[in-house]
Amino acid sequence: VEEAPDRGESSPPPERVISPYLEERLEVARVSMANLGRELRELGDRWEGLRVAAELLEQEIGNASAEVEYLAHDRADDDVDPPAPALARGAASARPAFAAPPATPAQGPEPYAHFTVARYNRTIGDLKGRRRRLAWWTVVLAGAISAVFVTFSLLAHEPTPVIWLAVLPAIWMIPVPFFLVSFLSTQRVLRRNHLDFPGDP
Amino acid sequence: VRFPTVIFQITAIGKNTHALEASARSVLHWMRNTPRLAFRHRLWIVIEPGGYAAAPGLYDALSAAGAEVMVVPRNYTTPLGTTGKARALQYAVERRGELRLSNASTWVYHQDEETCVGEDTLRGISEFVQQERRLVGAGIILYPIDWLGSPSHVQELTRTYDDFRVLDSMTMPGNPTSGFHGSHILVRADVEDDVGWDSIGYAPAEDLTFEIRVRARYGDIFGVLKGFAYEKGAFSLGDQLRQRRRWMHGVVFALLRSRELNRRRRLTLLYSALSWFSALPSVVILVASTEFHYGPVLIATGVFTGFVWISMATGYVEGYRLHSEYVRRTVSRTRFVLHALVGALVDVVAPWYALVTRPSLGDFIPKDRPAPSDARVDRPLTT
Repeated sequence: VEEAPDRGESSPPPERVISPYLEERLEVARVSMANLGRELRELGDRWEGLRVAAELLEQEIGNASAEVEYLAHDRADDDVDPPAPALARGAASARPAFAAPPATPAQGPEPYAHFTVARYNRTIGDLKGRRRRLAWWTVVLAGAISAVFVTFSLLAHEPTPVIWLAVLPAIWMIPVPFFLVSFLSTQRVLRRNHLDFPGDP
Repeated sequence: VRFPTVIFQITAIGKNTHALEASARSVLHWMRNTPRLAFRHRLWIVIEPGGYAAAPGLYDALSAAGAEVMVVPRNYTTPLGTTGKARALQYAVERRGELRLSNASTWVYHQDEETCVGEDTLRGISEFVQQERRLVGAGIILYPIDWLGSPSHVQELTRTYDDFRVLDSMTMPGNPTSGFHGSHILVRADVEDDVGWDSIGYAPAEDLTFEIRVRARYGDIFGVLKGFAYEKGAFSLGDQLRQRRRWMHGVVFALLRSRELNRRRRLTLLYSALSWFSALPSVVILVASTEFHYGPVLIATGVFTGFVWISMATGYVEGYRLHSEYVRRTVSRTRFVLHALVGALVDVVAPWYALVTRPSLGDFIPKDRPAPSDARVDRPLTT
């Protein structure tokens, strides 16, 4: 609506003029209302994600605190175990609560504490590093062994056996395709897949 | 930011209490000590009533530590009436349905009672669920826990090296050499719960049946899961034999009863079984060669002999090298070779043993046997 006219006595009755922008403003308001509704709905969805992110943040801060505490106090007592878990969140505090089952005696520090990414990367990296060498050695040694066998067989000059005896060694051939495929498969999976975790030692 | 949920599910009878406790606590430990994990976690321990009764205090303590212990009711039956581990797995499927967790943002990581996880396992899981390129993942399993260097433990080393073949096969269309695991697998919950674990009667290798069904229904959705899982091998040759018997019964079960198995896959599975069965006759024929003479036939077979022998030897050597970061005990080369031969002989006999004995629900493999102090897993110089 345009600016209100002077309401003096002498003035004629006010004439209301609809602004040419009204429709446009209403349209903007409608769109804004729709956007607001959509944003509110999406906010509800995102709330779950935010909650999870906050949970993760809290967990990692707890871990970092435990690690700092470990580095400050506990290192001298335990020089091999990784940082103690955040006790406030569960496991270790509840541990003494159960009676040990009647089975084997305890076997010292838990082995899983040393299954780290660094060791994994070293193991996989070493294997990938020797992949080609492994392939060549397989071929060379297989060829050498086979050559010896074939040479001995040729030099033996044995007579042809009876048919029922001759078919028996064919059984040795059954797994040959399997071993061939295995060899190629192993080479392929090591060549194609980046099995290590980049960025870790 | 919306993180998926990963359910770490240990499904077992529950009587190997020490092994199971270590597995559960490995999850709790590394969830607290691994940075940059982009998932929420839950730890489900699904056990039989007999397992719970063996150590109720332990399971209560694990509950207090954050695990959710589920005891499969004695009277629980699946629609098709399956028994054994498949029954417990199906029970977990139904629980997820009730809890509305059968969805695309929930994943299930399957562990046996002796499957410990490490920092690398969790990083691998996190990466896999973030990428969301594949709906089922499997990785490489090491067997360093309580490793003694016994024949059955030496034999287990070859399984780790063979896992590379398994991973490649699993991710290829049709799984040409039939590779899969029952543990250290990650499955999106909606896929697993849709396919389910139910079978008619006892399914000796429920993992193989599951893989066949998933592939038949969803196609090639399998991917490589980075990071190792850490398990322990059978402690005795008898346990090794019974474990292998169960595998062979699983293959036979799949061949005879699995309707989802297409012709090509049936043939490859049959060939895998045949290869394994051929091991014992091969040894017998080799021994018989001292008496019989195969003559010129050996010229043809000799061409491949070197490759077969080297392939088998590589399995042991590379398997050992893959474990060298994790095991301390050093076995002399002579003993290693001797143990490898004994362990291999058990594997050679196993399929035939399976053929003449019946599948058994009582194949309980002990995993809680104490290990000598010098056989513990090595400790790192640095972490």
